[in-house]
Amino acid sequence: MTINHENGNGEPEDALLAALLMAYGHAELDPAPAAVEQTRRAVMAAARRRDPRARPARRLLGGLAGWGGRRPALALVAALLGLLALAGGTFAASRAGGPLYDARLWVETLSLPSEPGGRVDADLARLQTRLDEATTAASQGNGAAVQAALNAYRDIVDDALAFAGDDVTRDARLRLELERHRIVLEALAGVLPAPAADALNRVLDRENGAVRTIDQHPQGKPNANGQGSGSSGGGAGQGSGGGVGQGSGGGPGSSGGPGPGGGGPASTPGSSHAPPSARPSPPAHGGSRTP
Amino acid sequence: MTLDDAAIERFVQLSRDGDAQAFGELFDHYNEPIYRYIASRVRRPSDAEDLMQTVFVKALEALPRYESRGVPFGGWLFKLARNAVIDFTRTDRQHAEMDDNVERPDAGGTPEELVETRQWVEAVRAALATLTEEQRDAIALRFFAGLSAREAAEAMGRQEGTVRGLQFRAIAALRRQLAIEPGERKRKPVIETSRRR
Repeated sequence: MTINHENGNGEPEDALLAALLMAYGHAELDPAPAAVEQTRRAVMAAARRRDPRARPARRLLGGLAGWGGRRPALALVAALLGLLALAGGTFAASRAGGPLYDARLWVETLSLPSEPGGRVDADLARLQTRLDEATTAASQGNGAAVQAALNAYRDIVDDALAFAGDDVTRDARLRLELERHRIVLEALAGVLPAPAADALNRVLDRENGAVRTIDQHPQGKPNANGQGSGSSGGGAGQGSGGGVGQGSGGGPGSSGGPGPGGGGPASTPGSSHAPPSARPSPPAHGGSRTP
Repeated sequence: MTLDDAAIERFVQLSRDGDAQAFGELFDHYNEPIYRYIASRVRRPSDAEDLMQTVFVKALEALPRYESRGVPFGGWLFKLARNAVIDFTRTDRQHAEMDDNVERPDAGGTPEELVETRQWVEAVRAALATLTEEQRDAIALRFFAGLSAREAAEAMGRQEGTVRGLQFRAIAALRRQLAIEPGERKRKPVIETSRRR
């Protein structure tokens, strides 16, 4: 997407007015990161339902469920695939990047608890497994496997975030793990081939978005002990209640989307969301971002 | 994250084949401009959030029928957004009013800064309210969503020149409303909230 900085007659557009409109857009029209996360989860759920890679398994599951109930069918499928996975040749195929990797990930999801606390625990374990797979594959120079593991990692971040909800303890644990993982992931950055590096950048984006979402939960940002600092976390007089304290930039010339002058909506969810304290003041000149 | 046209095209193709991850990339790229456009037309954040979800789910359903043929994907997506907004405002007209008061959290700063920020925001809102529907659409697509004139034209179902004309007249009207001289670069706009309709 590009915008020409000109009016209908091809003359230069009024820079002050353009900047003012851009600043107004940021001040009044930027989405809340939490709302973007929520919408993303809903949209991704709809997208996954259409993903043909998930269809054969779902069809099988649907057929079995018709026989006598969903839970026994799930157990049966899990057991069958588990047995298959034990068979030697299948094991290699189910490693990250292998042809059965998606099936293995799907099997994993069958045994996930639905209770939020247990689910976040399970998701944290799965995140660690994906991270291990990515680092192992990176050390072997297997870019496709790194990419597959990181894509799966990204989905699990979404799931963990959804189940962590607004609970301060779960949020704190998830946040700490994500921060720890980020260090490992950033260390991978220099050694990955291009497609895997793209996947890594997307994972880092998602992690940043997830941490920002957690920080915006009413409980506030957790401290080093994993306790919330906001008012609902029990602290008296500490925290702003909003927990928004991160992010950078935020003036009309620094954040997010496109502006007159060319370029596109340069944004990831949250990447352009300035904290309230950094919301734009009226621009004094044409300082709007120019993608 | 910034995606170039080639990357968008690739993700669109993958999404058409049912790749959920690829559609996630498109969502990440477009959600903010889509939200801004919708929010500028419906005003209530909760409505804008609902409509944004509707637009992306509709896009997901319509993608198999999308054919590039020189039509930018952004223009196509915003056409869906514009139609969703039109449907919404038809059924709930009051939400489309530009000067519908919506409570938004105050930005940080000193009380004086807060007052000043509120004033210029109100002044811009009042000035936008004086535009015609189409002029406002053109401004929202070009400035709040960041579309090119071509993409905005595609979204509005008009010729590119028509959109440029709408934008030109809208800018002239906004200049008058905000007492900004053509070519002016430094001065803050005169805040006259009494002009608000």
